[in-house]
Amino acid sequence: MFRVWLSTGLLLAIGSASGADVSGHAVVTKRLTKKTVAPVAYNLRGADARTSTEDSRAVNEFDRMVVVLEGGTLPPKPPVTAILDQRGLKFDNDVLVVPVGSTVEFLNSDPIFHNVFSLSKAQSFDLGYYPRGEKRTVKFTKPGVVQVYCHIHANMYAAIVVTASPWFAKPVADGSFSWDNVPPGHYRLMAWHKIAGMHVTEITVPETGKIDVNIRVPVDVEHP
Amino acid sequence: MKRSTSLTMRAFLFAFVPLCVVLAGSFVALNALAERRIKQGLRDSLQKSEKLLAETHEDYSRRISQFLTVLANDPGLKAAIGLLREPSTSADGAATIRRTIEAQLRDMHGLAAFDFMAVMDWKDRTVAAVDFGRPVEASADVSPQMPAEPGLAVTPGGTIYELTSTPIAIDGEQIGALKLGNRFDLRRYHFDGETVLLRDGHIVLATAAAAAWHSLEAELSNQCRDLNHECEMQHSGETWLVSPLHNVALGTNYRLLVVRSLDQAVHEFTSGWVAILIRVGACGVLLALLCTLATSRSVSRPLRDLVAQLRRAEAASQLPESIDAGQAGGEIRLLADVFNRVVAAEHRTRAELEKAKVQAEAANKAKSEFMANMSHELRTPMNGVMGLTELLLDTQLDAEQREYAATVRESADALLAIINDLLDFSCLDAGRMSITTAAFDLYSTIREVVALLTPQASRKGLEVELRYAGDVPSQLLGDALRIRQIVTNLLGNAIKFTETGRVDLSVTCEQRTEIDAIVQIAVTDTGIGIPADKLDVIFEKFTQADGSMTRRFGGTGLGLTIVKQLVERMGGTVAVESTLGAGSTFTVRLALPIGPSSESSASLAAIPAHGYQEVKPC
Repeated sequence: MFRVWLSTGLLLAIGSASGADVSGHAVVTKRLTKKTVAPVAYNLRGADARTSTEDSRAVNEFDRMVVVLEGGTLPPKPPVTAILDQRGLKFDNDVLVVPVGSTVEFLNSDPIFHNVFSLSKAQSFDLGYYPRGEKRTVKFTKPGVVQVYCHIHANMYAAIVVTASPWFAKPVADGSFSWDNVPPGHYRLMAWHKIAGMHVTEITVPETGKIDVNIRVPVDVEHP
Repeated sequence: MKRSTSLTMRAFLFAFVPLCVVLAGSFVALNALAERRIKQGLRDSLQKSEKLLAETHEDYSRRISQFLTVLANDPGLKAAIGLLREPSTSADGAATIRRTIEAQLRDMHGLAAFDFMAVMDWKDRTVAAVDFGRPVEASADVSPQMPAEPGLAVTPGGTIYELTSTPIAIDGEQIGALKLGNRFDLRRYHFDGETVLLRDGHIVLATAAAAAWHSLEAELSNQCRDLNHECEMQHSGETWLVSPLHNVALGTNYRLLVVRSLDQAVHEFTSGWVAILIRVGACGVLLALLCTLATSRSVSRPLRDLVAQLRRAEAASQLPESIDAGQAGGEIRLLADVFNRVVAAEHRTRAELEKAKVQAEAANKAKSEFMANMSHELRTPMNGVMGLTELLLDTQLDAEQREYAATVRESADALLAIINDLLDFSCLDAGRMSITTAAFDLYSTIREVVALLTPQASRKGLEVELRYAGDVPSQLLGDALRIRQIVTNLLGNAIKFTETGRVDLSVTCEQRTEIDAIVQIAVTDTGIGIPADKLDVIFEKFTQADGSMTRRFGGTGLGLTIVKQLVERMGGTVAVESTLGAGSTFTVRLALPIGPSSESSASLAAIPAHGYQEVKPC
């Protein structure tokens, strides 16, 4: 077992010698403030919609975004155990990205019950009601996007991106991300935003050197 | 006012017509006022209705929206929508998601029975829709076009939904929308009159009968350019008030209009008090009628009483002694008093005249009787004179004595003729002359007269000719003596007033029947004639055409008067035609009964004609 891991590391080292560095920016083409919707949005008889602005606060869209470079032949990263905390009627990480085979612990830090469930094809589950301090564990064996909700609290929503690719990242505050020693070839650069969903762009990684890529993510609702 | 209109009618018209005019005027004014008020009232009521509706709906909508927000806040629904954001969602997978969401919508329908429910994704694309007004299996195909804003939406099949949209959000982040709607129910907006829903100027729904939509649409587009403002239009012979409902937002291309008939509203409003007004008016008219009739009658009754009194007097052909003004006073009593004074004066005058007339008649009669008696008395001595003169002439006289005696006899004859005329006239004037009726022979009567007067004519060198027509019956009934006197007078006059020429006497029958004949005796001369202006007076007493003639021709002037009176007493007429200087024609027409047949005439003729020659004293 150790040997296998070692040889993998060796191969990775060899590969990196012949690859290029990939760096890029995720570009959010719309506003970076959180869109708010008032509880009572529309009058049935068509009076003007009443929107409240008190809840408008700046959020970092990149916190809710994951970028993954797919298409390589390299094996995934080793599985990890991550914690998705439930605190203040929210999942404390909007988006989690883990290598395939990882385990996520759903910890309830709120003084009330939560019921975490997912309908996603990649991994559907229902953890049932459990109180404060308890945690339930799910192992994600298939790559894909798993969207997680709470049955009791309709506003709780998180996503776990399970990937078989070793190149994944959450962009930093300015939206930039980078991977070193990516072997040359054609790749799909995928950005998944919690609200805007999937955005993909094709890139070609050269033998050596560096490339810069941009991926545009429209966050706001686009009316057709 | 016509002169012929009676006093009663005038009084009535003066009182009644102004009343009617005032009534009619007030009616028209009230009607106009009512119409103005009603228009304002309709506007106000619509505004109130709209305001009330808006207030009600505001509260209702808030509650509904809260409820819908709860509905939209279903974690299962949110999770299902979230699946669409996952990568590698195949078409098959999308269909599964759609079916899942539709199943959830049907489940929601148990909570809130909306006719139409749909879920949109965060890009406003329809994820799933269920139309509960339609068969379940066809639901996805007949989804209405979703408007961006809430309002009305129409399915391809023409069903109109009123849609409301509730966002589906996670922690304030919109991930989709829940659209819920009910079939648009026009009755909710049906306050009064007709409610019409227009889309782009075309009627899509209306409470009016579908047959009227087309004409209504045409009138609206013709007469109401701006449907955002109230307008009036003419439709099917009535005036309609078209009011838009502003507080109901149905989408930019929809207009909701309330169309109400002003005429009908006015009619409904006025029908009540029109009936009252008509009753009051009728009572007023009746009262005015009675009052004016009573007034005018009280004015005219005394007058009509006076008229009735005069009418009675008129029927009796005499002036009334006096007329009675009755209870009336003032002008009418004055009128009656004046009339009575005039009548009294008239009565006095009339009595005096009557008295004078009686006195005059008595005096005239006394004179005539005196004349008659006197003439009679005169004849007795005349007979003595004439008889003794005849006797004297039979004695032995010398030539001179005989001449004197003959002169006496001629003078006596002339005097006797005058006395006879006076006697006849007096008898006629006193009304004591009687006409007898007996059979006589007209021809021989006339022959005798001609024979008697021919010598007198011959002495003046005149020719006398008698033409007796063959068809004139000889045997007639009448007073032979008077007819002889008439013919004698006419023929004697003709001979007297003719100097030269001739005198013709013609007897003709103008008309003849079995029982009587109208005989015409005409005497024509070639004498001096009579002036036209004197023709009327020659039959008067004691007159000749010229006063001087009496001295020239002699005579009493009574001859023609006697002829006229005799002819009239016999029921006949006498006429004269004359040309001054050329001659005259006197024509007597007498209707005489035909006497016994000529076979018996011999016996009648036996009566001696001369037996009647003497004038019978009256």
